[in-house]
Amino acid sequence: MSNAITVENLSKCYSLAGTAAPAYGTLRDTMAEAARRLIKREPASQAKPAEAFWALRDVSFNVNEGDVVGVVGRNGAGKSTLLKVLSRITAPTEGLARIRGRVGSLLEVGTGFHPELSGRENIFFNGAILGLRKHEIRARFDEIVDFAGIADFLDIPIKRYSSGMKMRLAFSVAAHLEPEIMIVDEVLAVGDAEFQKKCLGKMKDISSGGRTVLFVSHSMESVTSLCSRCILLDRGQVRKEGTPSEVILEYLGGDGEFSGCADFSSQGKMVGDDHVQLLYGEITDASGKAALEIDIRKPLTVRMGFRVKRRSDNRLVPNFHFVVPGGAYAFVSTPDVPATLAPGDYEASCNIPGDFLNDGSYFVGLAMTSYGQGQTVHFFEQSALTFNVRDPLEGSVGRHGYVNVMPGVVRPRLMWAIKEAR
Amino acid sequence: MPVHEPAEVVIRASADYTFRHDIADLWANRDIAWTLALREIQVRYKQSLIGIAWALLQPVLTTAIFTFVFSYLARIPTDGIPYPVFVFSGLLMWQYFSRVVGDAAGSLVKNEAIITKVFFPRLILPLASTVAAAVEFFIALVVLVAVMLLYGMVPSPLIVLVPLVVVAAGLLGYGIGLVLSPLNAIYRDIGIALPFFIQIAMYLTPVIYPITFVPAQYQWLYALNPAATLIDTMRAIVVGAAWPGFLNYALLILWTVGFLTLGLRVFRKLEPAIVDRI
Repeated sequence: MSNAITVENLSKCYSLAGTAAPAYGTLRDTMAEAARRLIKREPASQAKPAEAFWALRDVSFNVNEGDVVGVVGRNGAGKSTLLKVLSRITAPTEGLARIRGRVGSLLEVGTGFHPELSGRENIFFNGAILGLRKHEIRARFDEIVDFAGIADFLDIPIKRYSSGMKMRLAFSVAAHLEPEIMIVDEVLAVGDAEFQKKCLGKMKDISSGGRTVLFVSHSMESVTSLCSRCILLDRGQVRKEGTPSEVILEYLGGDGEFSGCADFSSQGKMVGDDHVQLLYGEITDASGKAALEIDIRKPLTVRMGFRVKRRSDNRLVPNFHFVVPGGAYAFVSTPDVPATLAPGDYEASCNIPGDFLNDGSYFVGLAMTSYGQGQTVHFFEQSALTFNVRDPLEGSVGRHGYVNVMPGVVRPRLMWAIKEAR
Repeated sequence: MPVHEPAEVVIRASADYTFRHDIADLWANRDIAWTLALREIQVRYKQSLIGIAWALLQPVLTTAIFTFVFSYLARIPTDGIPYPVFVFSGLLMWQYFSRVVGDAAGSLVKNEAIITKVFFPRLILPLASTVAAAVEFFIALVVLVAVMLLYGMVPSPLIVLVPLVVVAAGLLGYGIGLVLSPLNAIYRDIGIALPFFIQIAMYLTPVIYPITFVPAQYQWLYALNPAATLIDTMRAIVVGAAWPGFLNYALLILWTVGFLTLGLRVFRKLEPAIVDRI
């Protein structure tokens, strides 16, 4: 498979002085500066390096043809700058990028629309600046209008459109260009649920047609659902590259190391006390393999290995804490029957059925409590494990074609009945 | 699928462009230039009551005023050509040329919203202004013919050469616009100062007076003014005035080639900075 996009050591530096007052430069300043240099015989100053801001620094990655790649990161991480450089709107300061194929980019709602012109006129104009010939636009015209759902408003000026209508039209034009590479920046944040569904569907079509999609999103759910690969940008640099689940968990988890399994026995510091020690934790899928990403329809098992070091009559209660990004608790689970255990190594496991958790990321805290004379917490390792639940959007509980975010920390399959009322 | 897109594009800090590459770029994107030009015209007269009629009204009213001031009051002789016809024919060409320079110089700033969001060759933008101004020129040309008929003058068949003059004026204006538009994007001073300089330039150009009105020892200076050559050519073609000399044309070509060469260099040099500093 060949590379659609190759990025090599790409850097983009903005001069803060250039955007702020002094060097935003009137001609007068520049000429005064030139005159001053001429009089003092100074060489042309490359000075003022202090005010540089590197929006991208040494970014390198490849995107294969046909991949859908999500770019995630905090505000100011350089996501939009990266897309701007790749769609040739602004030039990089250093490094290079190779792009194979025609690029259609949609960086902002209403890109290039002129408010005074009608929807019809803007379709032709927008199509032309995105690289289509007139007859090509004409051939796709009905499809574009139909997809955007603006047939009744074709001949009124765009300035009277709602932002949703503008957004639908912009996406529709860009998507119907049939670009080989589509670059989309966070446009799905606007628009109603129905249109988001159409957009996601269209992006899926584009990718399944062997074309490449690069998109920025803050919706981790849609990144997980759509992307085959993911890039995490942090302060202008690539912090992680890999499967969506790996990258999203890294992103949500902050600076620590997160994974579907964690070994606590070989660490320098023992986790636990003189009674019970934590050995390991693990997330496994239905086949028993360690997993970071779980299909929403499939069960998973959380396992915790621990060592009982001395005899005691206290009943041990292992407990798992399920926390969603942001810190809210999904739930805590403990076994039905606590056990009094002789010294030795044990594994506690908890099975979570398919069609129970919602899609998204979960952090699992591993803890051991015992009750004798009062309550003793032997260890509580917060966010010891992480996993990401992936919703394929088709065939999962509750969707029936709905593609927007399903709210809630769980999405269980429950018993329903629909009967004719008597 | 358009076939003009190259198979692989390399994005880097600064690219080397050749003249041939620039021309190919412009030609490949002529649809965009035309669409942008149409849009410029559409937008200009949108939500105006009489619409495109403004393109006719402006030179007509200006001609009326100039006729009153310079013919009725100042009695400037015009070599036997009725003053309204004389001034209208010159004014048309001058308005076209100055509009090309002004609009091309402002084209990047005006289209900031597009160039910061979509990629297409930026060289197109000043060109679109040139084309838009040409469309208005030809609309107003109809009025010139009407005014001539009113004064009992029949336009000479040479009028078919007018498009050539328009192309020549357009190329020169485009060259100047290429120099000014990226500078204007970075230093807005250009946009502020330009109308003033265009005003001065009009008086240095034989628009409202014929060159023969100027003392003979200074007339040769007008060969240095390419706009004067363009306007006199226009008058020679349409109303049968005297043709400019060979030297004038040589200098016109020199100016045009010079500005286009300089313009392409300046434009390409400043292009990477435009989006970040506009």
